[in-house]
Amino acid sequence: MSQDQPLAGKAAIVTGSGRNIGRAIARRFAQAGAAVVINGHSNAAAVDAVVREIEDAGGRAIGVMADVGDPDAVAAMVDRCVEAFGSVDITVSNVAIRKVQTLLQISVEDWRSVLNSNLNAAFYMARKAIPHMQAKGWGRIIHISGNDGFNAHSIDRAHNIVSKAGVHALTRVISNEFARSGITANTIAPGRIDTERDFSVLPPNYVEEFTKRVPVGRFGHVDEIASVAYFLVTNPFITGQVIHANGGESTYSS
Amino acid sequence: MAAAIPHRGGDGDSLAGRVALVTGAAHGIGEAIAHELHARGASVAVSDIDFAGAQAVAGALDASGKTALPLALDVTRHDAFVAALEAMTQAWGGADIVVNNAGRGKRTPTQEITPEEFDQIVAVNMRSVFFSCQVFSEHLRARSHGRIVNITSQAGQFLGTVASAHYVAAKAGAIMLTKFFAKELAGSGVTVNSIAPGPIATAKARLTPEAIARVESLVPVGRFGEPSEIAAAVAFLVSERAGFITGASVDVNGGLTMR
Repeated sequence: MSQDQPLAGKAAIVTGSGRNIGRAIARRFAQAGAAVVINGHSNAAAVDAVVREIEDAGGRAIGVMADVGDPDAVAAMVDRCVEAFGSVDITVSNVAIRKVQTLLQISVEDWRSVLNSNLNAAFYMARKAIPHMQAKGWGRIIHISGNDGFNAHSIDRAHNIVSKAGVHALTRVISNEFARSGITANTIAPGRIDTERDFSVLPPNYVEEFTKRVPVGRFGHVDEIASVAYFLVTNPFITGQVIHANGGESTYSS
Repeated sequence: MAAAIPHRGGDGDSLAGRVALVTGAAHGIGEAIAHELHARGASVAVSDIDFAGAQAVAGALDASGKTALPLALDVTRHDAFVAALEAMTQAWGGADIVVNNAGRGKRTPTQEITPEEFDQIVAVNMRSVFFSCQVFSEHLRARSHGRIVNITSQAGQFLGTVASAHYVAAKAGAIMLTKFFAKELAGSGVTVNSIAPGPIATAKARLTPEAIARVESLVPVGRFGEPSEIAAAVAFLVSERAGFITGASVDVNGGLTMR
């Protein structure tokens, strides 16, 4: 392993990496020498663009279109990673859908859909990837959660809050069960990040209003979350933990 | 590859040009932190109540003394932090990073803790954090940039391992002070975070083989942590890249406790 390529020889799958936080994490891992699976569900052009971006910079990446809520598709994605790069060493379950609905507006279908994409998906990934990690005695599992999962502050997203809390519970279970196999599992809880998003479902002046709620006075950058992911990959004594990267927004209470 | 993909906050975790104070840096975790920050380019004030020990570590970092300064610092004294800041300002023009690592564990049965011992443990482990933050926070705020990291303990969050009443209370207080100063300084460019280590290998010298085996069986990863693993976490939190993390406690404990 060279000094500037500490992840050389490692293969990573980052779900939802066509844009935003997932893309930033994939780029960070590639920068450190990992081969990366770029995953998307509907926007193949975005996935291709990230793959090209990494390849143009001298890195290794493939694109795999897969619905992370479909266990067969996740299994196939893990297989593709092993075929292409020889292993799966790092997985980042990043995909999340959020619907703005009060409890009584949430249909059973809505509930199942959010839990499936945000929580079940992380289980589908772990159960397929962990055997590959066990074989090498080394693995890193990262779940992207959010303030929501630790602070039930919103009344319009019960499914999202529950899924995010569940994701962290899964982190802890995996940590305990596989700690002695050299596998760590951790959660990152980003606060407000300046991602591309559908502003039509958000209140007017969202950014201005919500910036006021962030103690450091700004939204975070996707690269700041990628830095946390990279830090967790490099530290073998941190497992079962949640790293809050939220500009102080909920750390005073959690 | 590194040059081709730009990263906000610069590439790598270089601390070139930064000035750091590490307390309790003559031995163990503090020594590892001093080495890590210095290796990343920071000038380091190596402080300890054991001045000879601080001199040895500072000499190992930089025998010329240009980038490593030994300081005698008793963290129970408010004026010691004022003096440290003055010394750092004289040597390097100020301070950017403060790592409050000095601490003292003492195992005493509850009924045997005297008022003097209680005050002493609280002074070393908690009051030290308050006065350090009090002294350095305004300096860092005025520079619009800074990083404070307080080394606490998993004992300040959980009663999972053997620790005494004064120690757990003091460490819990240090974690709360971290959040307090994070809030006071938020928006100024200064972040304040804590790291809560689990069992670290430096503690083995004080333990019986049976006690060591018991700890290893309790920690999910099956071993004590290394001082370098705490130092790496400090290096991350003081980097430019961690500017959106403040008020947090990063638990580096091999999975011993999970919040």
